[in-house]
Amino acid sequence: MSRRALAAAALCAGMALCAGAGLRASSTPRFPPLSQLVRGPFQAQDLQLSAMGLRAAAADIAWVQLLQYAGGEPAPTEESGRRYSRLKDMTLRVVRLDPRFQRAYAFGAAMLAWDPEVQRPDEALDILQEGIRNNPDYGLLRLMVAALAYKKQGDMPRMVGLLESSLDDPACPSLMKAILANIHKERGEYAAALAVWENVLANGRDDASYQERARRQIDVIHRLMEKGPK
Amino acid sequence: MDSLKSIAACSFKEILRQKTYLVVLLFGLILLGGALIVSVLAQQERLRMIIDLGLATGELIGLVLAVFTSVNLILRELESRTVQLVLAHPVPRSHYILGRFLGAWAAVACAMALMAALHLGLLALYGWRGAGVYVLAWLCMLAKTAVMAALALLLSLTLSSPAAAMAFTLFLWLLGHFTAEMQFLAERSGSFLIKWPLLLAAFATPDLARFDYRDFWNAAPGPDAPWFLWLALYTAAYVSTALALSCQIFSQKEV
Repeated sequence: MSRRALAAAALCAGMALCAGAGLRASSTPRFPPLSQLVRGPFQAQDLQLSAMGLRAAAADIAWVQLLQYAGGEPAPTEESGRRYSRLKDMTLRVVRLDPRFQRAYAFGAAMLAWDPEVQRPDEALDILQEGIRNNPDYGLLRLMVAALAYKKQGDMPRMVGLLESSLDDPACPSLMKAILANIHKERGEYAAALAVWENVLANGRDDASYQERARRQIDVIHRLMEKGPK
Repeated sequence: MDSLKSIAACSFKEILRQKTYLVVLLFGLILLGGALIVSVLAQQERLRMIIDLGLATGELIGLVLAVFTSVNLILRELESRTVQLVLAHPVPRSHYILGRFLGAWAAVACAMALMAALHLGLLALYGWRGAGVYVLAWLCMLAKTAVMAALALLLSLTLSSPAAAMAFTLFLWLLGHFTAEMQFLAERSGSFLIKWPLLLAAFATPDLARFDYRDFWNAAPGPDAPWFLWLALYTAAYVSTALALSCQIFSQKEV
C-alpha cells in the first residue's frame, strides 16, 4: 500500500506541476502586484483583503470609501491647502485593486477635472491615462481625455458636445452628468440642462443622492424657464 | 467500491447534522442578505457589489466549512477510537480516507450550492438574469475549496492536532495567493539559499490566485477553454497528490 500510495502521489505531483505550467502558459488575467497598491491610511485593509484573494470585493469597499470621501464636506483647506487633496490617491486605490473598475476612473477624473471646487485637470489626465492603458476598449475614457483637451484650450462648446455624447453610456457617472447640467445652466441653456437632469432621474435609480438632487434641480430649472432666458 | 460509497454517504449525512456546519451555513446566508443592504452605499455600482460580496462570502464560508470539517473528520474518530469499528470490517484504509474526503466535500458543495441559489435569487430580484460565467465562477470556487479540503486532511493526519492543522491550512491559503510574488522574488534573488527554497515553495504551494475567476471574469481577453481544462487538471492532480499522501500517512498510523 505504502509504495503504491507514494508512487501515486509522485505521479500526481508531476501532473500538478505540468498542469500548473500549462495554466501559466495560457495567461490568466492577473491583478497588479501588491507593490503597486496605493499607500495611505487604508493600506492595511487593502493588503488584508488582497491576501485573502478578494481583490474585487476590496475594490468595491474602496469605491464606497471614495464615494464617502467625495460626498463628504471637506475642510476648506486640507493639510496640503487644497480641497479634496486625496481624491486622486483615493481613485487610484480603487483601480489598483481592480484595474477593470471602469466607473471609478470616470468618476475620479470627472470630479478632478470639472468639479468647481477641485479643478485639477492634470491629475484627472493621469487617472484617465491609467484607465485607457488598463481598459483599451472602453471608449468613455478616451472621450473624457478629448473633452479635457478642449477644456484646457477653453473651447467650451466642443467640450460640452463631447461630454453630451457620453450621456447614454451606462458607465457614465451621475457626477459627470451633474457637472454637465450645471455647465448648461450657467450658460443659460435651460432646456439642455433639464434634459441632462431628466437623464439622471431616469438612469441613475441606484444613486439616491443624485436622484434627490435631480428632482430639486428640475424644479429650479422649471422656475428659471418660467422667468425667461438669461 | 461499495465501502467507499457507504463511507462517503455516511460522512455526508454526519456532517450535515453537525451544529457547526449548520451555524456556519446560516451565518453565510445572513452575510449574503447583508450584502444586499451594504450594496446601497455603492450607488451606481450596486449590482457589482452584490455580485462581488456574494461570491466572496460564498468562498469564505466554503473555505471555513472545508477546513473545519476536513481537519476534524478523521482526528475525532481516531481520538474516540470509533475508527476501529469501521476498520474492523474488510475496508481498505485508502477507501476510508477517500470516502471521508468525498463525503465532506459533497457537504461543502451542498452548502455552496445553497448559497449560490440564494445569491442568484437576490440578483434576480435586482433584475440580473445571470450568465454562464457566474456558474463558472462558483465551479472555480468549489475547486479551490476541494484543494484546501485535501490539504487540510493531509495536514490533520501529519500534525495530529486540529488547531495546528487549521492554522497551517489557513497559512497555506494566504500563501497560495502570493505564488506569483514568490516566483518574482526568487527570480530577483541572487542568493542560491534564498532563490531555490522560494522557488520550491512557489511550486509546492497551490496557486490559488488562478482560481479567482470571480474576480477577473470581465477581463478582456478573459480565460479561454484550454485555461479551464488546465485548471481542472491542476485541481484534480493537486487534490490527488494530497489524498495519496494522506492514504500513505494513514496506512502507517496505529489506530
